[in-house]
Amino acid sequence: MMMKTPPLTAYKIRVPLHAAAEGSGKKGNTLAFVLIFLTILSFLMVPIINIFTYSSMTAVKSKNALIALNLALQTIEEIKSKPFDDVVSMLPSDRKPFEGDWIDDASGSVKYPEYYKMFRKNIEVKTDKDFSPANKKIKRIVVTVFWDELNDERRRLTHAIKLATCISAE
Amino acid sequence: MMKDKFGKFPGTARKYIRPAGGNAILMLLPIVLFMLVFGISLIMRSSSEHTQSFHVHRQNVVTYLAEGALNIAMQHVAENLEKKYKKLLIENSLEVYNLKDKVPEIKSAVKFLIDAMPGAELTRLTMDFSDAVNFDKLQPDPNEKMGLLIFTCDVKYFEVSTTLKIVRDIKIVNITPPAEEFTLYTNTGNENNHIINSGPSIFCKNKDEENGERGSIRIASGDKGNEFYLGEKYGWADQSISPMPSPTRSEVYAKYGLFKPTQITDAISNLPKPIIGAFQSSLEIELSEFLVDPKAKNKKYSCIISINSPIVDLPKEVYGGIVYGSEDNKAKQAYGKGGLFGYPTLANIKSNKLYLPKKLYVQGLKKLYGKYTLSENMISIPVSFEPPKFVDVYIYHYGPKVAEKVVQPYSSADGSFSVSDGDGKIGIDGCAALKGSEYKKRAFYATEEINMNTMQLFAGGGSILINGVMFAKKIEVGAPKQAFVYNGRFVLASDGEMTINNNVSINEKLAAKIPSSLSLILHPKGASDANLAVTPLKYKARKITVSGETAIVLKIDASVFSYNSMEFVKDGNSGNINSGFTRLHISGNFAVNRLIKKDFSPWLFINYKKRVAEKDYGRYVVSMSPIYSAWYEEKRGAK
Repeated sequence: MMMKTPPLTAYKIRVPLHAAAEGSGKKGNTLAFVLIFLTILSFLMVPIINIFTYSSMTAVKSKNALIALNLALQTIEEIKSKPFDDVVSMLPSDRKPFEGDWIDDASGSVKYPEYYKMFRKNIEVKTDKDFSPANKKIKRIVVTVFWDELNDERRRLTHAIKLATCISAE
Repeated sequence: MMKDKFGKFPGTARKYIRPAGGNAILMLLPIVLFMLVFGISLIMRSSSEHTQSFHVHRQNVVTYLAEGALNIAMQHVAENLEKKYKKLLIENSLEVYNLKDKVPEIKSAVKFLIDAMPGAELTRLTMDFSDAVNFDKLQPDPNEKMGLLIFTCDVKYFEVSTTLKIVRDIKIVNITPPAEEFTLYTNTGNENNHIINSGPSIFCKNKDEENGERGSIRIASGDKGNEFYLGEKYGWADQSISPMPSPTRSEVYAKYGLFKPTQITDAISNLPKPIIGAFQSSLEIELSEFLVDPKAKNKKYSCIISINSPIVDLPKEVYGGIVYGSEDNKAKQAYGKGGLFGYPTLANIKSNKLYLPKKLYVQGLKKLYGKYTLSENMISIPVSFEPPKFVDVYIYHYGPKVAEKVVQPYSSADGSFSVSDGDGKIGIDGCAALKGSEYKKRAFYATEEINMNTMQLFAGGGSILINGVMFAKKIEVGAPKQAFVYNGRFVLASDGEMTINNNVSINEKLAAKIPSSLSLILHPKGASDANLAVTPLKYKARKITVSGETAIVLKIDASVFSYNSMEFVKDGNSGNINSGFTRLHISGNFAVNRLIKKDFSPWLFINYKKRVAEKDYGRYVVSMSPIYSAWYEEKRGAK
């Protein structure tokens, strides 16, 4: 019994590009496909790249927020660690950047990293004259750390982190 | 026939056919997906970091707000412990005290914190007194106790909230000086006859001019029964304040003060006012002729001219002569302090008559002379170039009374003091002060050594500000070149050794606002009736020169208790002078269980001051531990 062999023409012949280049006669079809693919891919990549950009921006934001928070903590703790009478009143006028000596003691000095220049602090210390007016034993402290960041629309925005407390002579 | 894997029958012609279309592109899809997932996870991670940083910020905000609110509360309580809360604490009626709602100044101060952090909310700020126990279980003073003062604060900031508790130790202690109703109190067990005018001088002014309180004088010699009880029953009486004779010295006046036995009351009260002449370079005081004829024999009288000299470190009193009812047939100068001016005649002595000098005058405002009928300069003491502002004339009476075992062993009249030991016996060593271990229990600060530096820890407003008891095995009061200036009501107690290095004084500027009193107590370990020879309280005096006169002086504005007398210690400030030339001024009272005059031997001036008030639990002070006993924080809502 003879096996029925399907006619050759019944097969859709596809050849690789190099085969086409060698004269398969099926030019263009695959290239178009590639172009379509690239187009689709580029469409797909746009949000993905955006995702990465956004992620990177968020990482920078959180890094900045944490640095600002730690700088605020450091500043408020520095004030708290001073003897009560040495904590002098200050108005929240200047926003001094964090630069210069960070640590300066017998073991040597450590400068603030260059990156920290973008952070500025505002310290407000006020004696509470309403509370125990005769003794003036309460001082109000507000520490604010500011920094600038680009937002999603590439516009510069100023952010701030604030801590407030009171210290007493007691 | 089976087809092969290419769908052909075996043996048929094979051509290369590429597998299903689009595989290469599909291969990129997982990469794209991976990038997508990776990117999203990156976003989630960085977002969560960002969120976390907000949470950390909020946690810090609530902590600082709570800390600030507690600082405000503790400051308020520390400032008002005496005025506002002492009564509540003593009477155990504080309960849970809502500081936020009940104290307007706290409410307004805390409002600042809340306003500074919009979104924050203070939900609770309270204090509670708990675990109160008495110091002495056997013989408790019900008002003396210790416990815990717990400050609690709840703060909420958006979704984060915290509860912060700070615990401070509280001690309510009795700071009544030992034997406070006595100007001078001695309890010497086996010493013999202490005569107030023999040996180095002891002068007691037993009236507190500020409040009129009087302190008795007790010189006890125990078994011998020779107790002298002076001044207890006689008061001072100001007789006159003269009109001012000179417009340039308008503030000068004189007055009589006296201890008056009833026999001479009338005579003295009828005295005319003294006449004072103040001139450019001299001051004259003319007293009236004064003659008393006391009925009772063997009484002794003394006259004191007191000049309120502006010289700070010199005694203000000039001592008059003592004329006493001796049967001696010689006119003699009676012994007194600083010299005499009265000059008794034989006839007067025999008739028990007392004369006062008629005229006193000051020349060049440097020297004061007493003058009676003889033109002799009989005393000479330095005064300043400034004219004195007051001249007081005191006449007092003293004399041996029938020995009374008044208080032996000592316990004060109202029972506020007791001496207790493990057996619960009261007054076991016949001592006016508590034992060192009792003070140690009551101390808010107990350590090995207290000196000037240590006490600076408690400085406030430029002077020492302490309320309560401080205890140490070794205490140095003041430094060689720095006086000890204090405010507050407290006790410095030691069971080892104590040295007073310099003057002790109250900061007068603050004294109007801050009631101030100090008791210096040295009650060494092992001191008892059987063991009197324990470490004495040591003191150093300062050499001062005013108007060419040199004196070695130590001034103590405090009550002093020493079990075993006091001992002078030389140092660079006193020069090469022994204790016999020193002058020790105590403004307060002096209680000494064993007074050894020959060893002690300065001139001792006791100016009685009763600084502890009776009313409103004035004998008690509340002290709060300077540091936190515990600190607890519970945060909620931070994820």
